Amino acid sequence: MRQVWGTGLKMAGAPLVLLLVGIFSSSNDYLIYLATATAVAYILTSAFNIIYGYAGVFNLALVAIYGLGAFTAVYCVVQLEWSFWLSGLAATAVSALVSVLIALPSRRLDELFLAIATLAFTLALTDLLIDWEEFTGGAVGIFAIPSPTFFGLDLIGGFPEYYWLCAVFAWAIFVISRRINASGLGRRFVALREGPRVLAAVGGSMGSTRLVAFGISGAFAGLAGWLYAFFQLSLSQDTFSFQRLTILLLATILGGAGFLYGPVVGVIVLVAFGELSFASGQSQDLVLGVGIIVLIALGSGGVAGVLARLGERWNWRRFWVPAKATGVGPVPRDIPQQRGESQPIVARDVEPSELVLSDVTVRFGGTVAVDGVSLTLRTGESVGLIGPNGAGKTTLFNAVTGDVRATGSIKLDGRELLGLTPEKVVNGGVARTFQSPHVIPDLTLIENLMLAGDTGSVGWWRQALLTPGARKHDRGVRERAMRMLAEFELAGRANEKAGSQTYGTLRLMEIARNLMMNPSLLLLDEPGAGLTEHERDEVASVVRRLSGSGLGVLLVDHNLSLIRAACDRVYVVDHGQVLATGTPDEVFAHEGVISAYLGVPR
Amino acid sequence: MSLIIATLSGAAVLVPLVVAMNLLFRVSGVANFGAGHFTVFAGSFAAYFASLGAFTSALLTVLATVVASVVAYFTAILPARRANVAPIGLTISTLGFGLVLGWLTHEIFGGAAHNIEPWVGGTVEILGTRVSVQRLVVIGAAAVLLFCLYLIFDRTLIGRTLAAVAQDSELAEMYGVRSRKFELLAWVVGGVGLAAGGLFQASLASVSVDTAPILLVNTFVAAVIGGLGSLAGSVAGAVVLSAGIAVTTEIGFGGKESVVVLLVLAAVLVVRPRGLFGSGAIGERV
Repeated sequence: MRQVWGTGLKMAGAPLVLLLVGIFSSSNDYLIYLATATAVAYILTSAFNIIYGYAGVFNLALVAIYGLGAFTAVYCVVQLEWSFWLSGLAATAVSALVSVLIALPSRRLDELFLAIATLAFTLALTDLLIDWEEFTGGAVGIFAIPSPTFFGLDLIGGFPEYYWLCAVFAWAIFVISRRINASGLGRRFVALREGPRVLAAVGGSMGSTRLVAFGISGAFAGLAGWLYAFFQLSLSQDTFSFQRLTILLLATILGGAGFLYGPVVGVIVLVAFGELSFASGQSQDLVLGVGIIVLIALGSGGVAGVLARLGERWNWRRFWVPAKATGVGPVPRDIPQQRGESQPIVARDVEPSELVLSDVTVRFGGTVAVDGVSLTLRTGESVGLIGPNGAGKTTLFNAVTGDVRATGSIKLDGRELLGLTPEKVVNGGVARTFQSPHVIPDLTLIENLMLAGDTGSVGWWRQALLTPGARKHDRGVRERAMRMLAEFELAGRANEKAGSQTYGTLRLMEIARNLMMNPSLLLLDEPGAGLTEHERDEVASVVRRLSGSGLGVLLVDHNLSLIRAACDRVYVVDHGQVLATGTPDEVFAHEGVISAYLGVPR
Repeated sequence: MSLIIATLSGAAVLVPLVVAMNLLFRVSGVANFGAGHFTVFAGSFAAYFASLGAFTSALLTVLATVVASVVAYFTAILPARRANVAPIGLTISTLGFGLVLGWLTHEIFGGAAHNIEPWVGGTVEILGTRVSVQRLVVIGAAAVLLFCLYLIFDRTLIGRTLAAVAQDSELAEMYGVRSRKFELLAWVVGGVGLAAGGLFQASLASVSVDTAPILLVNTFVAAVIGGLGSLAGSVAGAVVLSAGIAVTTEIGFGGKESVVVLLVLAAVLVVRPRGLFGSGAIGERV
């Protein structure tokens, strides 16, 4: 019953609020103006929340995109004599396209560098467009924009009819945002923000995820610009102004970047600031400035963040915790809660596969970190890779997974891997873990696993709209992730944030996440580091069960008892070269190995 | 010759601003979004108190801007840092302080453009080009300021400690350095840089509250071109950007500075995504 209420409130809450606001303010010109402006501001702030709050890209050009959408719509109606509705489509499409075009050359820039570049772009585009008088009306702007009609009904900015139009679009944007938030696309945006390397490690493309974020946020901004133009009925260069950018930033960050309800809260806070400034007779800059300083000092996450923390304390999670932390179902009953060492970790068919490294060399300037290493790894075996610190073990891993450039040859079933990007290597069937577990701390354990199942048959737009097909896919991935967690005896923690887990749990979770992608070969980089003896025994057992299930495992570790317990064969590297190879017993008796580890002269 | 003078005088205004931006970024991890308002405040303050004489008004301007900078640290940075706010949040907080300072500047000094009478009048001819003495004085003052900062950063224990805090504040604290104290020092030195930039800008052109965003963007862009790091990077960024603007004006495209700024920035970042003097991590362990 409680769930039905919750679902009903989620579905009907937003339209109900918009309906009540419309009814309450329709008799007052000022209130209806304020309500319409708030609805448009909500759409623009949602655009920035997608690109910055979720995807972590500090794209300050969004305000220019918004202005471009506004002027494009007016140009289509006034100069090309298109209909109002068609001009909306054009504004949205042009804005999305230009936004994607900005994303392409800026893909290599860090956060602050991108912010400055997009800020400079905004100023330059403003100057250029102001010079294009036919498009923007020059420094004077455009006045007397015709009001649209809808089946004979005049939609005049500042009147209730126009509010209802904006309210419908605001609701639509809220629904899309909520769907993105709950979808695999939302998880990928968060991964892009929190750990781009994790995204590549699960076979996701950082580049295309970024382009989608730019495209969606650009489309939202263009839509907001379209509605703004016909709301104001006049446009000037103020549409792009630095002050508007400031307000956009503030609405997003004060509301709570990355929270579904952040833009709602943000625009309400800013409207409150505006009214406070009006009521107190003080400048808006003063009220905004003091408000920012105070709200930032209250902690990260803005007002939605504060409410989320209170909500967690008083169990309001359903409303304030980011909806990406969606609930998990129960553990499927057919999954045993305890696994014996002899049981394979996942019952499935692994295609026989062979990784062959021949004469692999990695250089950093004048330093040769890996020097002509050759080794093989087949499915169904676990192979150890040991050597003193600085021997080149992790660098060799990085060469295989495309993280560093190498020479020589790395072939998977005859197919050359050298030169491929990390996500292509992963999608080819070679997965890896890292020395320090790479996880997305803001996502729960199950969501971290689901990231690895999100890439595949369902396209980004179906995920964004959460179509029935996307929902079905999501349910399948969730169930598989739950099974995988249960295999590692982590099902009870499925809904806990990764950021609050122990090191040992994260190690196991990282392995489980890799298994979600059904790899043929798995490279484990020091999985025993920082673990207790009991946890190390558990890792050894997991490695045995993995190879028992048909997977090929290459294991780097310093702990020789772990290597002895887990591996069939061992390679020893020192100074970037293979020193010895054989069974653990043969290798540990090798004089050169003893010398390399203990410093005894050969 | 006129191109060189225009480049150098443009760089003279930008260098202290960029140094201040870089210093705060390295030590606090904060990009000071209030820098434009600080600069305008300094220029307006100096113009308002010009009747006290060039030296006294300049000295008071530096003091007032440093005080504003210290207030910014204690109100906009320290409380937020205690609440574990991320650097991007601190950056937004500086924007909040900038808005308050902008309001204060507008209330006290008015919204009109302010400029300072030349400290030294007259013109001189250099290689056939007539140049105002004030322009040369500003270029010289910027060079002296730069040299003093170089001596402080490179040759004194304070400068090395600042560098240590900028590099790794936790490690510096393990060696007994009180990093908060040095963070405050960075804001003080940054205040001096912002005051100098405001004084130079107001003496060569003018400042008004409306110009704060342009000053901010130019400072950011020059800092990014330089690579957000060293003193040399600050100078390089300021000179490259000023040269771009000077060339544009020379060939008759004056008024299109924002486009030039973007083009120069894009040209540098396409070749070096971390700026001229920026460096990426090599062989980072993952």
